[in-house]
Amino acid sequence: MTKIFTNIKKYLIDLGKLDRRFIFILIGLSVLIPLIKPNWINIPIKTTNNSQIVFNELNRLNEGDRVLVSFEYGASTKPEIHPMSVAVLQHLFSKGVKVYTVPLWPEGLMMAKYAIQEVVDSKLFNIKEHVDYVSLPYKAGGEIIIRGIATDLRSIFTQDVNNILLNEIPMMEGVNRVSDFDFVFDLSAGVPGNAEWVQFACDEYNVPLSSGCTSIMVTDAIPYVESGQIRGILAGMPGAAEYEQMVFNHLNSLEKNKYMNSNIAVVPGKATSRMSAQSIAHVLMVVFIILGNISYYLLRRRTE
Amino acid sequence: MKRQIAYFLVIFIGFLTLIGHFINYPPLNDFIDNDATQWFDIISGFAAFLGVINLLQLHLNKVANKRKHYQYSIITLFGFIIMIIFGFIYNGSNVPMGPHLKEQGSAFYWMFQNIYLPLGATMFALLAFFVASASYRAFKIRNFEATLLLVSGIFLMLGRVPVGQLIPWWLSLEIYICLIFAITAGLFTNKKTLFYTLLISMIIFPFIILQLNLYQLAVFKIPDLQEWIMDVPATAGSRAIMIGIALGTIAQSYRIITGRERSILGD
Repeated sequence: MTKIFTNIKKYLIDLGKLDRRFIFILIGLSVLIPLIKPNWINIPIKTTNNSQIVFNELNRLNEGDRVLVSFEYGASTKPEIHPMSVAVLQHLFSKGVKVYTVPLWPEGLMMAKYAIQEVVDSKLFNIKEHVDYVSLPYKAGGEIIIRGIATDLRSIFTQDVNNILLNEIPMMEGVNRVSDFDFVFDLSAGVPGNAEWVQFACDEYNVPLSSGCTSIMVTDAIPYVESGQIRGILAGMPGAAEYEQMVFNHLNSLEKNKYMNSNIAVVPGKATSRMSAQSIAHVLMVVFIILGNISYYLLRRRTE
Repeated sequence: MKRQIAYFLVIFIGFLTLIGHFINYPPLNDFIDNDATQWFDIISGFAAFLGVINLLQLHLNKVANKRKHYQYSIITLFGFIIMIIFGFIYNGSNVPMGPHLKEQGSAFYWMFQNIYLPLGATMFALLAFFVASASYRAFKIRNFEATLLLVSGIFLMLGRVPVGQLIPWWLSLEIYICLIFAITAGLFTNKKTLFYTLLISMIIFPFIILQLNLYQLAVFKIPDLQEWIMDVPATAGSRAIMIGIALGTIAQSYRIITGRERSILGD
């Protein structure tokens, strides 16, 4: 019996020296298998309070309201943020809201283009450029651009992304500053991001703001959420999956909607299927941490 | 003299911008809200240009002098020149230069879609592997603070994903019991007593909680606990950091606009 315990102890201590390539393989498989076969693991997604607040805030908007959607993410954070961009745009277009996209990161321009294109390609909505949405170009300056949008948008932007003068776009009529928008939605993965929108524009001019960001940004943004300066937050991939599900249910519940093509089926977004991969990877990491600690404890006892 | 002019400009514009927030004088407010932001826009355009020149200079020097790892500089320069060509010279689509950057079919778009995007996603995806490996090696219960960090980290990791909802209340309770014993282990002189007390607690407490109907408390639900950690301790910590940063910014800004901080000009 003692020998068995001694052997188990030895194995557990040896686990501490586990080759990291073995960990890499396990993590790779834990992510890859659920991504290839999403139906194998189907875990229901529970909506958190902050995601529900975001949904309720956007759902309160009326036809013709103007929403500024700010894109501050790039290729590296696309898998995390992009699904929520698409879900937010679907939600807004289903309500007949006018969307104005602005990239504050150089890559944000392409991300905005991809998100809009994905919604257009789904053929779910009857939307047209310059009628339902306008894409503003990228300008360097970060928070200064936010400040410019807050005070005089026309001094910063004279053309849209297709080099068409803003004065020639009917949708831009009466849009001169941030207070002309009914809502600002920020999709961010860093600086400038939601904090800058609070500090330089939305708080001062009393424009409601919500945000979707990467998981690691949530701790920085949560004080603004708690104070109501940011109305709810979509936190990383789980937030995206929750929002996707709410939008999916919302779109399916709409019986007759003049903005939607009723003959096109609503399909769930990408974040929902990616949640299984993230779940398994997180559980695996926790198991690694527990094993690492057991090994550390036994090793410490032996050296003592 | 050159430096004094630069300091004068920093001090003058700094004070002007600061005063503008306290004095309601329309021309001054207009300067701060519109002109100053446009100035910044122009300057940042030049800064980006200078950055490009600097990057070229740095890597060309490295290649010319065949410094260590100069091969990477060749790849950087190659990527840089290719994107310059596709951005400014070769279009590849029917739309005019400028809008071609986001036009499907243009060479620039193809490079972004097929080279830059996968490479960027790959770099970020590598993080999962390194985090797993690093947490396995470094996330250890060394002291009380490390234990707190580890426990809240585990609760957040499990609570943020749907699998956290599947963890039953009694398992959460067992985790708490183990934690309490891990923290108080030093108080037990006899290890056998520690082990038996832990074992008895792990058996008895679930029944007590069940009898008292306390198992529905949020503390036993990992997603709820995760939300509480984010809403209360994490918010408190973040606010403290934000206040610290704000005070630091005020102090540093004061030093800059009064000419005390000279490092901004490279001194």
